Amino acid sequence: MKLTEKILLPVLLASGFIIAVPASAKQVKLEVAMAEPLILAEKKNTTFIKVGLTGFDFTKNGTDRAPVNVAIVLDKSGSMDGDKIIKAREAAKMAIRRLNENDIVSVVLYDSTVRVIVPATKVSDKDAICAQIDRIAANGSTSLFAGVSKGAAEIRKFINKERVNRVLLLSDGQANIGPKSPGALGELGGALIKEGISVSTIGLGSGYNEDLMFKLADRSDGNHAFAENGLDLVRIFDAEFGEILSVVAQEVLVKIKCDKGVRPVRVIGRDAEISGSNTTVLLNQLYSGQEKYIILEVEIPAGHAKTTRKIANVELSYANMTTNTTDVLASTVAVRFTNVENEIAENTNKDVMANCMLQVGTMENNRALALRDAGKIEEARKVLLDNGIRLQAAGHRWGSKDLSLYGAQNKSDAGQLDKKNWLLNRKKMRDTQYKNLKQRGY
Amino acid sequence: MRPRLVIIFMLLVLTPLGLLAWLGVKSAKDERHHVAERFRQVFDGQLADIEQIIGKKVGELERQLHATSDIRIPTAENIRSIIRRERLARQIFVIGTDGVFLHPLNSEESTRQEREFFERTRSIWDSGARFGQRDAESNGQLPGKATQYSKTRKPSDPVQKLKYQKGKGQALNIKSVSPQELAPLSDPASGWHSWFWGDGLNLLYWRQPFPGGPVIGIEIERMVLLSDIVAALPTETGVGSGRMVLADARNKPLFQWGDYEQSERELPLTERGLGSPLEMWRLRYFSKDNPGSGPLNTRTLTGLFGGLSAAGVTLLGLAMYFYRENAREMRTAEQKVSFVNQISHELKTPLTNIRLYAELAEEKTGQDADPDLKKCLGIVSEESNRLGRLIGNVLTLAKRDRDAALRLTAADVDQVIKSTVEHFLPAFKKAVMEISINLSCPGNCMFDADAIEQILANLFSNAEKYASSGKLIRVSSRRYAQDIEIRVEDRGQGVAKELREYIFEPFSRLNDKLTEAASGTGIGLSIARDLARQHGGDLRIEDSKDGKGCCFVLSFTAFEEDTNA
Repeated sequence: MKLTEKILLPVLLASGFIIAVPASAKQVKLEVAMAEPLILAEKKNTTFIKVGLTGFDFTKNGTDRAPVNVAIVLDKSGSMDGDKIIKAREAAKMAIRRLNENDIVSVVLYDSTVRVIVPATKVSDKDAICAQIDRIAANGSTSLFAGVSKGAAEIRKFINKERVNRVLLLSDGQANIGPKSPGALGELGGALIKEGISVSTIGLGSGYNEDLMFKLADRSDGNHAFAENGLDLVRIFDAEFGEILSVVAQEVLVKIKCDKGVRPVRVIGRDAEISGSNTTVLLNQLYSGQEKYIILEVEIPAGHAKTTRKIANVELSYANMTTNTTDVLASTVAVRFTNVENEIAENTNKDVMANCMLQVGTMENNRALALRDAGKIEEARKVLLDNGIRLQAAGHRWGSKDLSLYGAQNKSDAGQLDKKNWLLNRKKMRDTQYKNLKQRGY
Repeated sequence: MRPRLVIIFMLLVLTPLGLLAWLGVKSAKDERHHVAERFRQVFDGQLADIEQIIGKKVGELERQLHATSDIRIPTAENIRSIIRRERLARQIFVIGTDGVFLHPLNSEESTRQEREFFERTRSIWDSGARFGQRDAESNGQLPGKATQYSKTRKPSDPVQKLKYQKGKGQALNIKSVSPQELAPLSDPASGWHSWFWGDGLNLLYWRQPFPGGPVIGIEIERMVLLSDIVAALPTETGVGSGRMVLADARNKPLFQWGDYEQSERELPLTERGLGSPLEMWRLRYFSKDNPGSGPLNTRTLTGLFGGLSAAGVTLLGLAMYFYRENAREMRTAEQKVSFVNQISHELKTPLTNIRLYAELAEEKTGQDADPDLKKCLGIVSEESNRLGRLIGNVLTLAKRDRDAALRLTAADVDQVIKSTVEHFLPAFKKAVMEISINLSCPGNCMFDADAIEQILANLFSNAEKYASSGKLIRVSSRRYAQDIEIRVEDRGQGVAKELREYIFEPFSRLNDKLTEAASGTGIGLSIARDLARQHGGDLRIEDSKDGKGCCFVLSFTAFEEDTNA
């Protein structure tokens, strides 16, 4: 391959172009890239497209951050008694201290019933809100569904596209009043995102239903995290609030229109709507300085060597939280066919490939989890060990430390499948899966 | 006597107390039922208010769905973008005039969500359910399909059809409906349909903007419906410290509020089903002091217990009073008996002397004495004998309670009879009574001669007193092995059958002309029977053999003669 081609190819293949955006305003960075820009000719290929979305940075003092509208929904069922409720109170108070008078907060408690102890209000009197939080004592059972519903109702009182609308749910136990299946709570999450409300779920200790919490966060594009103890909870609460306070874009709609003949197979790890050659993915928000990406697996029909083929147009539209405008970006991506097999590896986009491998490895980790759930411990162990080896090899090959670490983690998971460790480790696995699939920032 | 008295007094106290308790509990229950009824009415009202909140919410959602279903250009792209922003819509479908799906299509182009939709709703299409009215219906292009509509509204009803056609323009002009109007829209060409899939009931809303035109259906996101209703419901009960529950078809709570924690199997104080399209859900109200069920509450029980205690104390007081009165009377009577007893003992000694000296005097006077003197002495002797018997009876009566032992001696029964008869000869003579004796019980045997003598004396004395009109007294004895029977018959008035047991009761005297004339204590026969029974025998009364008068039969068992005695 000629030198000029080597330099030109990436530029040619990932030439993003911007439409109708004032040059001065800060923009979300849209990067569309093929994992393998060079593919084997005369053969049907399956490869990945990565659509990377990176939120712009705020000004240094953070004065231009978007105001938030947060409902803190706390589990105060009997199991929260003791250190857990104390730390939960502490975490909630600490979070509220980070807000200012442009923000709106509400606090909802749930046990067998639901109580709104702080109805949606502007954060002007922090002491009064904290005093309410200090009164929380734990008892009763767990009406998780109603808690989230009431939290969402508080958000709705001041719902506004210019605010970051977020329900922050804490639970340490199994929901036992009202709908309690992961599917049902997922449906609720899937509907809340249509209103621009995300639910971030924090599971505390070893008693909660991680599938339910995962699904609720996943479908509403919030965050899900596992807090092993009260101290962990304070840290995660803080990190989550950090995310909420750094939202730069909302209603992020990505449309990937594949070129004729190119077939979108699946989006790994995210909810997507695939119809014919069109793929639509909705993200509720982007955070400052943080990359979220979409990995789309595509099937490319055979092409002749030394020809270039357009693969897809990518359109991005989002609500810019600093300018309060709807910005639109677009990009396109192409591949070039070759006969020389070792050129393919040479030209592989290592970072993109690492991202793809992480997604695939995470899905594989989840498959092992399902096997373990079905009682097939040995099969699950084998899947995890194989996955670990593959991930570590890929990490070495694509120069990704993350991949190697996750590979090691998979190997370690393989040793935690016995009854004694499973309850807790399953939560940790779900936590890491969420972090990988949704590029959680903490 | 005492245990019987105690039982009587217990009954006297416990019976009215029990009656009072029963009445008390019954009236308390009635009262409680009444209160429960009032409670129920109050909470029924509350449930109705809650139902209204839900109805209002459903109305709102229905209007929202109505607006959503107003799709002018139903392209796949349009519909998908509507689903992307419409919270209530899980999926939207459009069925054309010929009953064929216009959207979604089960094809290459369809999304995963759309394919899943067909999976979920297969039972609806398999059942042949249809929504709205089809052109094909009139010209019979769909003969295979059963005419089955969604159960809520049936535009096939001719009257409704007519109405609907009149209101055609209106139906297309949905957006003019004022959002303040809270009652659900009554568009005849729209409705709800429910079906089971997965873990519960699913709902869809359909609407046919033009008669015979395409039907637009919206599959409801169930969780959104529930979440919106939950959001609209209060978190605290207005009055009362109860628990309000919105429950599903299996009575599992979906959402609840109020301070009371109901137990899993507890029955609600009152409940209420919801109207269409949520008829599978119920509103239930539980209360801490559910006055309609369970044990009576403490307050009622305390009152009842207090009242009963007071009544019990009063009754017990009364019973105690009567018991003491009775005891005092008994004591007085006992004192009297003991007094008579003592007097009798005191009388016995001088009487014995009198008898002794009277007999001595009779002997000394000899055959040729003054007949008047002889008569006088005879009377003295006779009367002292009578007095002796009386005293004997009184002493026996007093002894009876102490269960005096028999004094068995070897004696001849006939001899005892003869000597007793002899004592009575003067009296019988005076009463002009003949005496016939027929004794066939010779030989010695062991028995209490004094007791038998006393029995006979009582019988003879009675015969003399009450049966002298019969002019005859017949005495006979018989023996069957050790069983001895002595019969004393008279020809007097006899004793009526119903009174035959009564005359053996102590202190009983037949109150008639017969007894009025003669004096008596009323203890003779009682003592006689007791003595006979003490002797292992009996004294009973039978009809006389001649059918006139009465016959006393004394039977007892003689003991084997003790050779050592």
